[in-house]
Amino acid sequence: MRQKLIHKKEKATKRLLKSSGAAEMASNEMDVSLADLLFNPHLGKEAWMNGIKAHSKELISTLLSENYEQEFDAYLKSNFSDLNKSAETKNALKNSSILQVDERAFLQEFLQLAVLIEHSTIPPYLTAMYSVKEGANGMAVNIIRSVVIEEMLHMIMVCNVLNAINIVPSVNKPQNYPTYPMKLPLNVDFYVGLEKFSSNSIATFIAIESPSSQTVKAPEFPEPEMESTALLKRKTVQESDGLWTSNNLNEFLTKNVSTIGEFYDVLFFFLVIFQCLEYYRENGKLPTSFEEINTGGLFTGDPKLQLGSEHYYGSGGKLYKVEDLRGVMQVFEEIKGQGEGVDDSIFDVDRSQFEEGAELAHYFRFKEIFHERFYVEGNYEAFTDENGRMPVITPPTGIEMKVDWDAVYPMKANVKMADYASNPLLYAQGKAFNQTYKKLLDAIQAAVEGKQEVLAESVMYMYALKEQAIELMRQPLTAQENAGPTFEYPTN
Amino acid sequence: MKNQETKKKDVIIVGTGIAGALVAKTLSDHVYHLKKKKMVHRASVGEKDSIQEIEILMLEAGLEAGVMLDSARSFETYEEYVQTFYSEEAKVPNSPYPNLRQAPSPDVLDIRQINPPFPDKTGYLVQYGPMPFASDAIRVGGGTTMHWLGTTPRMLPNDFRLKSEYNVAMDWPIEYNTLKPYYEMAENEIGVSGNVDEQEYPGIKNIHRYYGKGYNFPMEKVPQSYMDEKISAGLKGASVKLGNETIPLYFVPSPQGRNSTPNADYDRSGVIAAEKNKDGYQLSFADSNDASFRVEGAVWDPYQGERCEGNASCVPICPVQAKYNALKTLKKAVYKRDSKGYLRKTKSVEIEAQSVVYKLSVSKDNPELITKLHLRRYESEDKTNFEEIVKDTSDSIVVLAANAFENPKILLNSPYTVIENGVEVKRTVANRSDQVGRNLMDHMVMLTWGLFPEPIYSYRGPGSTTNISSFRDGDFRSDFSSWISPLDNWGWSWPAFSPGSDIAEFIGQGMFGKELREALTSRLTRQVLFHFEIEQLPNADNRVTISNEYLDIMGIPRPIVHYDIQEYEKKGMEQAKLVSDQMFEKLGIEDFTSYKSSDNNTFVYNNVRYSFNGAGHIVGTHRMGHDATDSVTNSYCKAWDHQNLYVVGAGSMTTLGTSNPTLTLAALTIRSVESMLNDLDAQFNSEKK
Repeated sequence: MRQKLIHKKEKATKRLLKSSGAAEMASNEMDVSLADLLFNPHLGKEAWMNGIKAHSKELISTLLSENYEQEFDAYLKSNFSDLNKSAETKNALKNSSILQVDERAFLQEFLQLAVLIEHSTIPPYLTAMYSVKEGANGMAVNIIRSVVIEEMLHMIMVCNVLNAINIVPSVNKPQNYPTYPMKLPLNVDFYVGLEKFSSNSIATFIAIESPSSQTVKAPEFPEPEMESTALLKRKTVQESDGLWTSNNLNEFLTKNVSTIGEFYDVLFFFLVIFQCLEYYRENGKLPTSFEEINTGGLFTGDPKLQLGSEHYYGSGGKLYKVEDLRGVMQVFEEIKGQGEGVDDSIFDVDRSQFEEGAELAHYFRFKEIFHERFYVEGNYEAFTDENGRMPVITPPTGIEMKVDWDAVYPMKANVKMADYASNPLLYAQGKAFNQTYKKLLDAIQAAVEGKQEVLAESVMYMYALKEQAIELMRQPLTAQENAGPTFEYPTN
Repeated sequence: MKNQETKKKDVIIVGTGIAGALVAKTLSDHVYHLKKKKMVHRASVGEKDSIQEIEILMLEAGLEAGVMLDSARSFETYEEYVQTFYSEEAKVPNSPYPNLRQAPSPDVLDIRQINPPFPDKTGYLVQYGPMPFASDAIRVGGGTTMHWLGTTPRMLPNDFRLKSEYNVAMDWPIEYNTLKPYYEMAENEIGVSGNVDEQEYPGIKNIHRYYGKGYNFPMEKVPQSYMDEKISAGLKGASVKLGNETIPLYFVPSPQGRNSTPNADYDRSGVIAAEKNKDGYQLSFADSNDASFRVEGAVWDPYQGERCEGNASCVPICPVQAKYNALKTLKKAVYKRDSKGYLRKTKSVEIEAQSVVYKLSVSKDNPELITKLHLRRYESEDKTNFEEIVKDTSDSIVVLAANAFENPKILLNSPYTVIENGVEVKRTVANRSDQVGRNLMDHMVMLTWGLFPEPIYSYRGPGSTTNISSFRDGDFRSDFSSWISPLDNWGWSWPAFSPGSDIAEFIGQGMFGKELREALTSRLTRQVLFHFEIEQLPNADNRVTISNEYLDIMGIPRPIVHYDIQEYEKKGMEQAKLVSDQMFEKLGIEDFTSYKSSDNNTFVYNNVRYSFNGAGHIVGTHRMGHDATDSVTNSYCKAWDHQNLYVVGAGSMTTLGTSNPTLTLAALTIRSVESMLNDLDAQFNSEKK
């Protein structure tokens, strides 16, 4: 979480709850105190959203400092100390509707959304990788491969967070399957699909991993007829009267969150808030230090269910076990860092293994493919401002990468099993692929449910998937386009 | 001619294979501490300490691309090797790598039967025979570890004292126990997977004493194949007759330089540091709180190849670099960690490629001093024009690490004259003993193959995961060769070119469709291959020489090889075949073994024909020994005849033993660095005065 955000750190405003007579809150985001956000029964939806936006940013910015625990303590103190003292507010707290929220269900929904986001990147990356003809584009394939492995790592780490708060993660059910083309459940205007390796698909990948402003134009997909993310439709959360509902959360995400990094910032904020409320339930007062909420509360999961580095390899990221809030922070730091870079640089979290520290975050690795050039050995003086910063969209200017955009099977985009209905051979092959993919997800599911050794099988399935996908991609579907893997839930 | 005078080099290493890379890496991990006036490990240097780097130059005959170690370029080159391998029809060990006219390599495809007295000149080697030397090597960045299989057993204590134990060959100048700590360092550097508890060898009563109490391999054993399990189960507790003796069969998981799960009980640090004591420098693992093994992945991406993925093409190339190759060590020589822990390219280790070293010169006044190193640098893969370059080595240590063909070739091509007792005597460098080029050895690989009664699913996993160690030592060694028997996971591909030959055979019988599929399934899933690596003794007549009649395109002599096998080895092969027959019978294996008079390496012994292959274990042409009369170097690989010349590699080995030589040559090479540090210490301290 040492990521320097572009947003300046804003000083927390110390205030008690607004008088109960106050109507709709002002829309200026920092006008909503954390206390209001949590406990004010009269807070309007817009103010609620602005409050979450502002406070999640503020919380994250406290974590940027080297001694983040002290900053964190200060943040909690400034927001909660006075509340603990005043008898009036104490009473108000007791009756607050947020205490009625089913936190676990709420977090389950949120974290499963994270699982879905991570999962949704895997089939598109794999599809692009498989579509490259054997022997061509070695470097590009290797880059995509390394990113896929890290996305799987992220998915498993989110499962660690779920296990840490004692919720059984789900990765292999029909509702865990992304449906393509899909829109990430965020405020983005591009669609993610199953496409062959092309400058268009790479542009989409860049957009997915985008650290901030979206500048590479992604391909346009026709509006899907079905709801793209099954999870958004599900209503596992009992709707409470207040604002803390999954509907409002989803609305918030699709309006205010435009990158995966920001998504995790908000997720972290919710975890902290609920952990504070847990503390309140147990101790009758709000917490004022990091240590008070680091352990206990939501963290009732069985540590034996945590997957660690000994179970996962082949990735630059480390698989962190999660037993407390600190563990959650490590996980989110890892996920964000690998996607968009840390310290506001183009580099990934663990760069010590690469020469000159040159392990790039996913966003920049994809840009290397797109521009057919490496960052390494480039000269960026001309792009750099007086503060030594360059726009993230700066193209790489280093040594050349050979990319052959034509050495690719012409796979039909977002192909479905339905497209194979009239071709028994393709249908059987498409089905076989989907069954192998299900086995891969089953292996991950078994691993996150405690059978950790099963994870090793995934290597086998990854090889099988490649073979099966290439078999499909070699076969014509129409006069112009070939078949391909569909990544659908296998049905009988 | 051009004298290249750039920065003074303290050490010049010829070759970037495992021996050269280990010298470069181990030396460059140390620096001269100006205040302490000695060599210390980099990790122990404080920020304010004044230090001086050891300046190292490495020379590689292969292409420049092969020694580019940054992620982007090393990937590109390696990917080209992999794709070449995929497209080559004959997937022999050298097939992925550039076959250079400017720096040719011995290739198994060039081996022919020899009709003496006419030599076979098909390939790079001029083979006088009478038996062709049957192994290859490759001149490329990283050397022959690029295509080695990666099997890494240690030698046995008795292997070091064949003369005193069995009255054959010659004793080494060192004992197994002397080499033991360096075996550990070599196992660390290569990254050996294995299980100490499961090792079992003849004559070793306590395996934990042999390996060292509490010792573990850096990584857990690579899972043994299903075939291994079926064969071991079928011969569980079985013994075979060998002469009058009954010998129990030990099936042990082979230690190998191939990534698997790091061993949680491994307690050595990754830092090999020299300490100066009264006897000079001594290398050992530095104490560390963080003693654990860090798996080395691919050179281009440390997170690829962190585990063997079962690609099963270890020889000639592991597509993910889960198998160790010397480029991994070379990268650690060239890139060092900065204070933040990031890898940075160091300026003190330079590699100049496309540089074919062919000669050394000595000082007229002091023949003990190597003063010049001569090389020819070619312009590109396509062009043969070259630049003639001479390096001044008067103030440098020269380390020949160019393999057991090239090292003697360079030495024999380096004549000088001395006046002894008023008489002019012609010499070649390091050759007062006349042992340079002699005692060329290889394991003679006898293969036996057949069909197992049920499917054992060959062709899966690394080349070999189990070996039969029962015949590695015993009293019979006074009479005939010992051997090691790896079980091979790759069906009959070696002796019979399966599966292609099976397809051709069945189609030739008119099969097609379902019948063909079933025939192939039945045969390919049941193919077993046993493999007997027979120890060859040193023989002064098995040798590498040179002649001006046989030059390569750059005008550099080609190695001329004289090679034959003796009664001792022939009898060993006969005995091994008898053992094989007994095992086949016990397992119900249908024997398909056939040795033909047209095989390249074949002979008749006691009216029975035997054929063998090379093992790629090119050993013994500059052996270490007890003094300047019986050997080329001392036990630290330092030439007896010269003060600034080391000759490292498998050529240093006095005898062959039954283990694959790479681990042993790595251990010997690491040990030789101690002596180099002593020399450098003296040199740096005299310069600083």
